[in-house]
Amino acid sequence: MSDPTTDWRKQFEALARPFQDAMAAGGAGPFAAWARMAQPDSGGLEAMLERFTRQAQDFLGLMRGVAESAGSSSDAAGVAAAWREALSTATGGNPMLAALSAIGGPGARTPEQLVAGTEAWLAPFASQLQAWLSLPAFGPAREQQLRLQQLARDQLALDQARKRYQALLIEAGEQAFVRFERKLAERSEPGRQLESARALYDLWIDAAEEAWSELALSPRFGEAYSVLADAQMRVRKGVQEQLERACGELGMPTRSELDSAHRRIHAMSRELRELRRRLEGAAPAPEPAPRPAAKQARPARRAAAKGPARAKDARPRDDRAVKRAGPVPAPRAPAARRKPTGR
Amino acid sequence: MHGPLKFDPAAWMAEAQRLQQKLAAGLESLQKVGDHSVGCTPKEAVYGDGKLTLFRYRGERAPTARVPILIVYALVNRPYMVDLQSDRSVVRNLLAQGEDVYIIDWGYPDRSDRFLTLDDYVNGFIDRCVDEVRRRHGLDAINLLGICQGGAFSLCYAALNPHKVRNLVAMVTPVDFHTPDNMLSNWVRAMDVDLFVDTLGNVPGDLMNGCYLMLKPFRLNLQKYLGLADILDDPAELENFLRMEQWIFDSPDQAGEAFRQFVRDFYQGNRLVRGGLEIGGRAVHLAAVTMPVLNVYAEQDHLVPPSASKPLGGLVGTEDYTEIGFRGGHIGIYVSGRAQREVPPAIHRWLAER
Repeated sequence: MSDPTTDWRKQFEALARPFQDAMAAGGAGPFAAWARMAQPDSGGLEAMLERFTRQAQDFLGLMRGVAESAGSSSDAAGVAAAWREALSTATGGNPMLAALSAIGGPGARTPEQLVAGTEAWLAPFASQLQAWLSLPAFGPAREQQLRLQQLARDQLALDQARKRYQALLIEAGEQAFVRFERKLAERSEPGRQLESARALYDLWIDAAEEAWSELALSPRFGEAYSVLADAQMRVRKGVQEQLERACGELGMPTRSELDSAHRRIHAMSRELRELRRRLEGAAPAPEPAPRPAAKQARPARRAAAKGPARAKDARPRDDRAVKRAGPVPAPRAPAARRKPTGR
Repeated sequence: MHGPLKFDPAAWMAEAQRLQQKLAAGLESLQKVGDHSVGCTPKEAVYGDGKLTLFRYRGERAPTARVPILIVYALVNRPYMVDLQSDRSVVRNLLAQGEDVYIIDWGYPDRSDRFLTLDDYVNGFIDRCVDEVRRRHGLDAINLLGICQGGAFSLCYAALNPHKVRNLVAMVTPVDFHTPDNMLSNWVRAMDVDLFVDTLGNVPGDLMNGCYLMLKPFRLNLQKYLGLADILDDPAELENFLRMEQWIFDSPDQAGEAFRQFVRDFYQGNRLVRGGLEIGGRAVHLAAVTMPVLNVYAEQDHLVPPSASKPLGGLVGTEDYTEIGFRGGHIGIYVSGRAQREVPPAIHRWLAER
């Protein structure tokens, strides 16, 4: 008596051959054509095409893997096991981490990717980090040594925080498989079975999102994520400070200097606005006497301020082209207009 | 015994081949894709302030409403979401109802804007825009429509300046930041926001996008792009998809100081609810929001859950408070077909009654 799963697999392999040939067609297959479209010079479509191509390839590869391992007669556990095996090949065993890593690219970065650049800066010193920690600091280079030691500690703390975070992701990945199997079992009744590979994929997405949501809303994830983000920022800040010091020694303007100038400009802008506001508030009421030339702009504002409380029509009073920031009418007393309506 | 799969190898392979065919045909579709520019309604710039521009939309007919609406959008993402395309435009539909609509475009902050504070945004930019609209229409007070973070800003503004706001509409606005279903809040609650801002200066828009994509990593990074295959042969749907992609990834950086204060006081301190919020040295009490308030929330909102929006009713000082729950998500409330049919008319009706 033939084994239905084996028969299914054989049939699948025969049917899949042309498809596999297309996948392996190098420069001639559809994936290659899409990949060519996704080259950097293809403009704004690049990221989207890259994502799409990757997803389509992953999807087909995944389905092929599942088909090879599970037959249509497999029960929920069998399909879930095949799915896990295929996904492990595709994602390195951690679907959560793989999904989060997929966020990277033009237009979207995670804090992990923000710190990756600074870690590259530290790479040449990596072998010395541990050694620096145990050295006492003294002599003219004492301050610099202390800073580097702190940076080394921060890097080690980041490694720890990352491990803890990734352990949670692995746990959630396991939960996703558990939920997936449960959902597959629910769909094993006649009338509720999955009728396409896409439906199977969508069911996995549902299970994975549920597992992720449960983890991401938990206090322990919030805490681990915060610790990781803080650790990432400490390393990045430490590297930025080192670079700034080096740039300063070469006579280059630094971020701190620019920040200082910007801070001053903002403070002065606020002061200027406040002074302007006070001047307007202190302006005398309209008088018949001639007014100083410097205040010629004022009558128009007063006219607006003493105009009717409600516009007669909806047209704006002044349709001039863009008006840049300038004086605004002084605040007026609140008008009584609250209406009792009941909810 | 039955398994969960009801398809044979032939069906499985046929599905794979269909996907391949779609991919091949899709290349041609993408090359032929038409104009997918965003923002469909004519508008004119009427005021500028630094990188901010205040626009007034022009409808096909003159507005009949006597009191204009000023839309205050969030600092994250771009405000053209409310006017994405002709058949997905809250603005267009408000204009069709006879409303007169202005909108604040915050522009793209750069490092010179790092020290902009919430005081600058609320008591500075918003106040000057409100004054400009009041001046243009000769009104004491105008209608304010705040969206998401812009809704939180509008609440603060209205509490500080109740005499300048005739009616307040809050759309998908977070009020209670400590509800258990608020994922973003869970992530930033214990974060050292001072270290974060001191390190990054401005918060990169790409980083904000990364956080939003992390809310639903499988749907938003994997499933969505596979779903693109289903619409490759539909030019109109493809253009819709591309417009939405443009909006999603068109994210301005966040001015560092304003971000610091928003995370510390709203996400971490939950001060709109707990009290103790100060902007520019002035205490913000939602009890001072005494004008009529319409709170429009989305029932399937994963960014601002209804539980975060609905507490507003118990906090504002007005006796004229109305809530509308829209069946959809945070984005669907602007762009879905149902939203076009339901949301602008509901806002218009509510305003017209006041």
